[in-house]
Amino acid sequence: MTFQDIITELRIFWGKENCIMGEGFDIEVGAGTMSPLTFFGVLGEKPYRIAYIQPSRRPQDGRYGDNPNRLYKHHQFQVILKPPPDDIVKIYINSLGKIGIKEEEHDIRFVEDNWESPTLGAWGVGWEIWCDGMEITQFTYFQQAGGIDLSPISVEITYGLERIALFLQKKDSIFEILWNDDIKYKDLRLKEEKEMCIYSFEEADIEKLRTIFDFYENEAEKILFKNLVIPSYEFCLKLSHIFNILDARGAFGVTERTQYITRIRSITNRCASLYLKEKNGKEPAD
Amino acid sequence: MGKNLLIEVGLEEIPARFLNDIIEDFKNNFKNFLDKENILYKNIEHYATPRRLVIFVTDISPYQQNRVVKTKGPKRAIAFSTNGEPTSALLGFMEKNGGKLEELKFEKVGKDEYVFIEKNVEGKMSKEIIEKGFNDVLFSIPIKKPMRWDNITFIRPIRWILALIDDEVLKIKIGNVESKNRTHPFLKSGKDFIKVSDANSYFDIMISEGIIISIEKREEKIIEELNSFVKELGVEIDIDEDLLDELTNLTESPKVFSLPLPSQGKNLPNEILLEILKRGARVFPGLKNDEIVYVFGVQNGINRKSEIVKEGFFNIIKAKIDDAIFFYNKDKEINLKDRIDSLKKIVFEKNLGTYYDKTLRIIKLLSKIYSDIKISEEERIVLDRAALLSYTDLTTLTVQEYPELHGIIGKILSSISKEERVVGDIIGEFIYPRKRSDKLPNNYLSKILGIADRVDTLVGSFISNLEPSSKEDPVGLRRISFTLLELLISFENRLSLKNLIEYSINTYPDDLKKDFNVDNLINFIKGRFKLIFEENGVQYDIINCVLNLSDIIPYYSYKNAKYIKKIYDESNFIEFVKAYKRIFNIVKDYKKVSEIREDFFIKDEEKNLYEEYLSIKDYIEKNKILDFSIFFNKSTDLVNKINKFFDNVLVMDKDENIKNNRLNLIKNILILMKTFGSFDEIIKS
Repeated sequence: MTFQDIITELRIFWGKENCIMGEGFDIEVGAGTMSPLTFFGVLGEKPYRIAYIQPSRRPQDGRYGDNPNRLYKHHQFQVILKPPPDDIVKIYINSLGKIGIKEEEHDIRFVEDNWESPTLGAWGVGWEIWCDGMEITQFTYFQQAGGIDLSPISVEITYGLERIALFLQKKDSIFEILWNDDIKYKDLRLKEEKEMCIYSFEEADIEKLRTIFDFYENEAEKILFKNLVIPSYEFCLKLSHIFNILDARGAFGVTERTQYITRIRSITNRCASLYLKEKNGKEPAD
Repeated sequence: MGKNLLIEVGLEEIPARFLNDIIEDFKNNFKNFLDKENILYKNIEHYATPRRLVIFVTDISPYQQNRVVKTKGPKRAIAFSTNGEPTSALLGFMEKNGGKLEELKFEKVGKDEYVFIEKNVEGKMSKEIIEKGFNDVLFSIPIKKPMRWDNITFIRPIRWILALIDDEVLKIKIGNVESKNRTHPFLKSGKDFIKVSDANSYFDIMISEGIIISIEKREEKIIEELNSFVKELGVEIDIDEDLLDELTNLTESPKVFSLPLPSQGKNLPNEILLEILKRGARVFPGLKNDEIVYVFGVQNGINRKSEIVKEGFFNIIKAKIDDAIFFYNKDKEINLKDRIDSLKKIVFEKNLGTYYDKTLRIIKLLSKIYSDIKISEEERIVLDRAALLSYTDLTTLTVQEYPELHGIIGKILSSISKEERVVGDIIGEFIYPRKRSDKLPNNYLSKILGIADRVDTLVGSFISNLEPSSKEDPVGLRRISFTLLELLISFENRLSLKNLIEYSINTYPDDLKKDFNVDNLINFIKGRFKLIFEENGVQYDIINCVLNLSDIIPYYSYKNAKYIKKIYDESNFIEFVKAYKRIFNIVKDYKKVSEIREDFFIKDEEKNLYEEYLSIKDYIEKNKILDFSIFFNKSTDLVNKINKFFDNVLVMDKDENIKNNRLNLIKNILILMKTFGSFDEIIKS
């Protein structure tokens, strides 16, 4: 099954489970969770189901395309179900069947893995799901987002698409994955991997990035006072990406690092409160 | 035969690390509940898999035991008028509680007699009691990392409840889930559920589904299958206990499979490879002639073919090894000494700074410790170097990926960084023992660094109020104290707890240490010391004898306790203790110790005692004796002379000078003897 077939099958499957078919967000993010489709979607009481592919950038994981298993940018298939159905595990297992992982043939295992995003003020508990030893999915029950206790909670299922393709196509390297029948992953992405790593690790102007960070932060705060929640949150995503580049460069001292995280969180949390307040016409409880 | 009760709570996968505690607490809670409710039974069995918490109660009585319920009424004096007629107070009480005049009982409570109504209350049906009380029993299980769903808080969502007394379904409801006579099969099974028509048939159903509900049996099965590979393949298998526990609780249908080690493995040092296999891929390494040649995994699903699973595991192990080779090669590019600055970016504890700060503190602390131990100039240089580099491997990619490799990577990189071999040895072993099954370091310099490192952590944690409560010990300070003592008693040294702590406190900034209380920490460590003694069969009066001192030197506390235990019943020792107590009883509260004046002595016995005291004191001080056996063997004359003194001299002379001089003499003797222990604690004699 090619990389794009896996995506197609997952889209069809979750479409039938009444998920909105969303699109990947067009600002750099570290994970599908950061997309406003998830961050704001999980807030509030209204039932919500969505699925989308999110290209995710993690400078820290960049290896110039030299390492067969690590990428600066990878693709997540993100599913959010609020509230989670009682048979969600079974539904998930069925979804694997659609992409050629038949439950009765494999060792599918749920290994405890709890998740926390300090910049989003979000955390949850759950598992990483192993298929024959390979971690293919993160399965998380969100408990809090934007510093707000969620009620009802949401389940987040994040498929690691490259990992799954690696597994299904029995390849030793992500770059050898077939994107479709003619094109390999490396044809499409290797140059990008190399150059993004060179930029992040060697060329990025650290001092300038710090200045830009300050500017975006000001901007995010300024427009939040005008109740522009979504644009303000978008600036937080930019902040988060700049933070990730600086972090990968080892540009932070310990205390400084925590301070940068706190600066971002303070805005994302205000975005979440304001979003809920506008939605409900009242302040959220805590 | 009586009826049997079965309750199976079905959940989404419970994290392996919590399963044992949760099922134990569940069983204990349920047992307490049945006892409290007067429901008789023969036996309670408990079982658990990642998806099932099971209680099976045999011969459960269908009804609670009948009980007599007593209700207290008014005082007898108030209940009846002077002519013996029931008053309105009594009539009201009887009406409210349904009692008859002729059945009233009278009993004294305190000084007065009261009216009672006694009633036999028939036991309710056990089924009803359990239905009503079950949720409380389940939700009073303490959960360390709980989650919330549908306004319920537990370890993971509860998805089904199977509850039967023989063939009768109990009505239990948790959130939207109602109990039925149904269980769920192994996850990877086409069936949605399996009917369980009778509590007793549950066990056969589980067996036929390939599910092993007993934790112990799953573990046994894994060990047995590993052992059969030992024979078949002629390998030695590293059956790591933590991994075994985890895999036992991560599977409900375990089956062991074997794989050859991917050939890339040869490019990694064995120590790194072992860690990647055990913690990364969660497989057991199999060794031939100290070389890893096989790995053994545990698949979930007894009845599944292993071929596909094995292929997947082989590829993932290969990938993890490739990854580790990448990390390791990158790590080799930077020498340990060039990593020191990067320690500034790794937090040790948020109030206590980074590992860079910790490293500097440890080096300062060592310089103080050197004055208390025998150590050559060359050894100091080596140890300082090792201390400087001891945490630098935290900056490597390998340790960031596999934290358990801290120390091991340091050792490997120190040889690549052309450090002296012994520096590498120290870096590699000073962190041990990390758990109880670990061995102590071989090199005594590693022990000294280990001691400094642990003292720093203990003092720092007490400064930042991280001292453990009865429930929580987030830093693991109990374990750290225990290790500190193990290290201190493992080689001859004169390091005292008070000195170590005071040296360490001086390496911290002033604003942090102002509220620090040395005695709190000493007492905390003494608490661990007691456990070490108890494990070694030392009785408590000896423990108190060597520990009830304001400061202790653990090496000698331990050695002396062992010696006292050996001579405990010998008459010499009994005499020694008696003499000690004679002095102790008189001068324990005497504080005004001053110089002893020979010219105030009148009797020979006091002069003789004084001379004996001087001679033995001189010997002890000159030779710096801390070993009680040496003092004890020299103390025969002293003991005799103490006895003669008390038999012939009246301490409380009319002349103040003479009296005080005598008190001074024996107080000084007590101080000398107390160097070795508080012998008043010894019960014998």
